[in-house]
Amino acid sequence: MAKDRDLPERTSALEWAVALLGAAIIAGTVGFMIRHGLTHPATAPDVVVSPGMPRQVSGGYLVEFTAFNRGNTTAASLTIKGSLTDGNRIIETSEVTLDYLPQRASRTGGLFFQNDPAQHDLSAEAGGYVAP
Amino acid sequence: MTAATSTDLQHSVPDTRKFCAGLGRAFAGALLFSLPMLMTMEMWWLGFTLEPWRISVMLLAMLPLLMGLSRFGGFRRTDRFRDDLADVLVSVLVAAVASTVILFLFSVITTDMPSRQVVGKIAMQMFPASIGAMLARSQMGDTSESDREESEPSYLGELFLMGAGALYLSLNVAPTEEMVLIAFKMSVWQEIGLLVLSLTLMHALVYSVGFRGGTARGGRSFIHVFGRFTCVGYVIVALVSLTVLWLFGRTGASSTEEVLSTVIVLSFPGAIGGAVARLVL
Repeated sequence: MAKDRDLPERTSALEWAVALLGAAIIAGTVGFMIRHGLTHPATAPDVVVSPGMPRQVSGGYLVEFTAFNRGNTTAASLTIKGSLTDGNRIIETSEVTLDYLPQRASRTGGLFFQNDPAQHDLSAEAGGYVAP
Repeated sequence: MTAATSTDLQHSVPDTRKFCAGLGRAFAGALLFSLPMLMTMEMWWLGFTLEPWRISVMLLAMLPLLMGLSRFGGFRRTDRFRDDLADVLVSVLVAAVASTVILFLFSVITTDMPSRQVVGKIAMQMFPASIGAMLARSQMGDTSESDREESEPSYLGELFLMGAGALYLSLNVAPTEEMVLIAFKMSVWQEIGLLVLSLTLMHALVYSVGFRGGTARGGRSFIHVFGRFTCVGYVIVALVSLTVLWLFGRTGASSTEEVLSTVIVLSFPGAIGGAVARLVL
């Protein structure tokens, strides 16, 4: 046995089966990445912010939102700005920064206001981002 | 394959139990090496910020690297291309399974994430994890000292091991913001100082551990070791650092000076890893 171990070993059928799975994984991953790269040309981040219903919380109001990036590039340090307006008059603004909003992904967050958003016009949109 | 049944004196018979033990060891090695990266958020982010072609290049470049490691370490003694290839593919599978399970438990990947993000995050981790899986045998395996003695690598093999050792240490820190930050903070003189320190440490380590017990160094002079191993070794370490920085998209829009100073910073751990490659690999 000791002598046996000094010799280079052959590959068993079982190991080939496991190896084949490994080959499938690497081929699949590379294939997926290349296909994704070809079918999703890098387009600038395109962020859609959808605010939810305002809720009363201790010391003010909370508007939860979902930000979705329709573009094919990640937006880093993305700011989401919410504002309450009455016609041309700005009542209150609130801002939050998302570390990352990956391509075709969504993140949720919340904006706090002192005034009741239900009494004013509420808008929420993306402010700006940096390329990662 | 039936031909293998006829007595083959050149190769030992594969043993299923040994293979399963090797698999277990590979999982342990994958985790040991890649856990720091599985727990690094920059590594997760790279999964979706890196361009798909860059991730593909990384995965494909990983294969020849693993082939080399399989020859010098790996699960078992191999001397044929296809046996090495089998080992490489097994370690890829182990890496993929280990990274997927851990990332899922960490909730870094979830079922409602876009597939591009999930695949990207796993692919990033497959790189370090498969190296760890491949190194498992030499790190915690039953390889006896005499076994290693026999596989004395050539000069080129020695340099390959240095590069792998550099990768081993620098991969842990390469994806972090700190690399670039440290490079920003350093003045030119501090960079030169770090380069000199890297070379000095590398030479001292190559001198003391590169040659077993210092005996094999024999009549080789200071200049000989310094030129052939330390200097060439450092160049390889620097090239490894540059490649890793490029793969991780850290060289993109930076100026040459910026890239150069980041390479010097990353080559510091790389130089130590390269010099002690004989110990860790």
